[in-house]
Amino acid sequence: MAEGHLTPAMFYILLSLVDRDRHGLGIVHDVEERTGGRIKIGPALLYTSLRRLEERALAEISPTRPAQREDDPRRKYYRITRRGRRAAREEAELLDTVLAIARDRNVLPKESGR
Amino acid sequence: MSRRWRFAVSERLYRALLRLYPSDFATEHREELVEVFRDRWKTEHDRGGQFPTGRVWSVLARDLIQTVPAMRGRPMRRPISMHSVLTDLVLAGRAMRRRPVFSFIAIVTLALGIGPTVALFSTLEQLVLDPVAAAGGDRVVQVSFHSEQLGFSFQPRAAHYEAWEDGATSFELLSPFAGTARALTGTGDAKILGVTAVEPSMFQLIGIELLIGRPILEQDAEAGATPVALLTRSLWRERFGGDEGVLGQTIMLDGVAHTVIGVLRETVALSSWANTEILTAAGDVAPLDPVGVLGRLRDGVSMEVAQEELRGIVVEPARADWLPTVRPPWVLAGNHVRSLWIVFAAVCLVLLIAAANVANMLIARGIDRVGELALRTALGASRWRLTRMLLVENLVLAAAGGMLALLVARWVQAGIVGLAPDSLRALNQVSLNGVSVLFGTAMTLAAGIVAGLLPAWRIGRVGPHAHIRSEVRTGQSQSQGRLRQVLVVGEVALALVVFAGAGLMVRSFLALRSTDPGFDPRGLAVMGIHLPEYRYQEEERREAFYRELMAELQALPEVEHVSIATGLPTRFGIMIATPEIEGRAEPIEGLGALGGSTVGPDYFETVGTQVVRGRSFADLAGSVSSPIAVNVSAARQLWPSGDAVGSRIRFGSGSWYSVVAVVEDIRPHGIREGTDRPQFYLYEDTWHDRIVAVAVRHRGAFAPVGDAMLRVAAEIDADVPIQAPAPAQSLLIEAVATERFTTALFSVLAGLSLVLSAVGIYGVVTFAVNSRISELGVRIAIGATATDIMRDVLGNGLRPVGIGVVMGLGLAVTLSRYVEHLVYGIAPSDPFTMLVAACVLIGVAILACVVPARRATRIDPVAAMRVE
Repeated sequence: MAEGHLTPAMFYILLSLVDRDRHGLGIVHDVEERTGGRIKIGPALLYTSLRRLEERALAEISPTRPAQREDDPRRKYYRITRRGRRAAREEAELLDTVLAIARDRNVLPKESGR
Repeated sequence: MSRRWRFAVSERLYRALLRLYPSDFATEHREELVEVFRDRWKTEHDRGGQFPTGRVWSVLARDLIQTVPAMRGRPMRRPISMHSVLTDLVLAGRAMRRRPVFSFIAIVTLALGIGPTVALFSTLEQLVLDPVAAAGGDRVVQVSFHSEQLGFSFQPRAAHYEAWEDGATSFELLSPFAGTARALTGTGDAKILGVTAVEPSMFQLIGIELLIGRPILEQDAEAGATPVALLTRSLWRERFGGDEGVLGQTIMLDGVAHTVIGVLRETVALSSWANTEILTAAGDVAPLDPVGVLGRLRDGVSMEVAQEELRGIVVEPARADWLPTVRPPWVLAGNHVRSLWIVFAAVCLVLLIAAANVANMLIARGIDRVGELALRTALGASRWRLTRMLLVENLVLAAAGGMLALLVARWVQAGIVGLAPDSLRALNQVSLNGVSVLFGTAMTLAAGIVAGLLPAWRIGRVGPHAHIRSEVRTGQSQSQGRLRQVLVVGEVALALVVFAGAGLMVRSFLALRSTDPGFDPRGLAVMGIHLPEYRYQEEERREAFYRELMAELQALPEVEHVSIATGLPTRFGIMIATPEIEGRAEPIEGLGALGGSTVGPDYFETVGTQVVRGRSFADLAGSVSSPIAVNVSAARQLWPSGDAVGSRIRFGSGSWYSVVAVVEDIRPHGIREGTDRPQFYLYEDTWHDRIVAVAVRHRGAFAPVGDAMLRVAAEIDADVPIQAPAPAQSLLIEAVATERFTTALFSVLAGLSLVLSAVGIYGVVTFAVNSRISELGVRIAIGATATDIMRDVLGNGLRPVGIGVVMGLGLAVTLSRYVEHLVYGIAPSDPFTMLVAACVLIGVAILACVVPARRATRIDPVAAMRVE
């Protein structure tokens, strides 16, 4: 079955779920922090993307709740599935290839020692 | 606008927008979505910088655009990328360039509709919705006394304030202030300035921003402290050339040295009566009594609760009918606010007319483009794609219109401020701000969507077959022609309402101007004198100054009569005492506020007020002690059955005055409410007051007399500030300034709505003629005369106008009761005004139809057939 295309928002969300389960707001914060505020995921884009990740079984609602003290019973936590990890890796590899091309064509500066 | 208010509105708006999503998605995720929204709000506002609310909404808007179509439409293969939006923008730009005239007219129309709306909105927003840009936001209130019976508010005394501050628990903070006029000397001409004394706590209560220097601190208010002053920016520029070296310099206020400690960024408007040009510390030099009081309510305490609490605190001196009242700060006189709202309503009508016009043009253009769109459909563009393209086109048009509208708004606002009467002095501080720009953006978006969606939806229904079947074109234009006629009907109806409103204003204004003011403004010059206290502490000095001034003025060759008075015609003092008539036991109730002035012997001769009965003060020659004159209204109301002259009257428990004359009424505010207010003139021939007015009746032109008056005063004492001499006509103009203001605004709007609806009618008729070229050609070919064609086209064009006029008349008569208080001398539904308005509109409509109709008569039948 074709995995289909990951939208940028879906990709960011998967990346942010890789290291731990997060709730919606946590994803927004993580993405914004990691990208230095360059990527701001709007509320509806977040939940539509989460929905589509669920539909394609790339992410799911986590049955276990984190033990942190900031756990909020109203919140739904999402976790990445095995398929989701694979999809994220494939997307990252693809991007890596793209980056290599970009470096090769001097769109990005070549890193020294590489 | 306060942040809390913006937040509440934004959240509500966002929740409403969530309805755009399919209901299952919206219900399941609503709270989560709102939570992310709130978080975004907090992040952007905590981060600081410009337009945080705008930043929040730019994120939300992108989010909505990205997701709504995807959720609503078929599952999308690709999300809308920036690239395809760019394509839309490029297409829109191309479409605009292709029809420059169309684009130009649409943009100008939108600008003319939106610009004035933004200007008026920002004026109202700052005057009414958000009067004090207060740090404490919506919990800042003012406290004063209000008398229902007199319809006036009074300032509390210091004792009241202290009792409230000790006793009331509803307030986090109460801060007093006092406004006075003081003479600034030592830097250029002596000048009277509005000086407001505040306590340091005022800086915590409301946001007072400084350009340079420091705020007033506790130590400045201590006994024995050096008096300090903060200047407004305009005063600083005018007197000190904007030099920062002003800090630490000394200025003289009423002869007292004040050290300048800073410059205010903006004028501080603590109340409508305190015109602040200098801010000083309250203390020995500026005692606070009576005071203005501003306060901040505790969280959760309403104005009503606070008011009840204050009413429970009894302080002497107390009067039963004066009740402590807690209100939003800085409430303008009700009439002004109401006038502004009515003007705003009229502006909204003009905006609607403009939107209808643009919609009209867009529909017409849409019909022209059926072929193009059909082709795009045939080539695979989806309906959604076409709709989006048309929407983007319209939004680009609207955005261009919006930008031009901001320019228009600035001009309109400058015009409003220029026209505004002194009583709306607060308008000087009004400017276009972020909120009104946001409002303008919202208006622009709304105009773009409303004016664009309708044609987009209609064109969206066009199938790819349309370009094959050419008859679709006529079929389409018929149903859309009907829609356009409906728009014309609406436009004409609205224009009639605005025009009739303007007619009512103009007629009321003329009626006001032609009423007898009760004095003779021609050949009358007036000026104000303000003796600084420090130089004129002794009564003898003041007496000597006035004696010399009167003698010098009298000696001028052009001068016939001179008089000093505490009030001039149309500007009266108010007396709050209850009058008592000698020999009559029953009290006199229900008189309301009384007008009162103290005047010199020659006063009535000077201002030209007729003595109806009795003798003028000038003829008394000291034969009567404590004489008083009353006006006709007072005589009628206080002595209904007898003659006032010869009777004695006193106020409160004061001394008795003998009535020597009944004089004609002076209309103090040039308006109906003042016509039957009792007025009293106390007699005085030796003057001690520090602040008086001088009236001079002269021959010839005003200018040389005015110069001479200034010169005479300066020769006696150059350090006395003079309110520049002015012809008395200015008093009359000032008295009807509010009316003049409303009338002028309305007239401009009426002109605008006429032009807009004429453009609309012209467009519709021209288009109708164009789409009927072949039919008209055939009729000309089989013998129709020019008159037949003319009659046909005019008849078709004028039918919707006729319907619109009838509907507009109905609407105007229905709405007229809302302007009742602005109308003078005629009925609000004055038939003559309505008729004239209808005739003018029909006349303009005929003009707008004649041009295309004449073109129709000149159609060449042969050429017309060839088109088919």
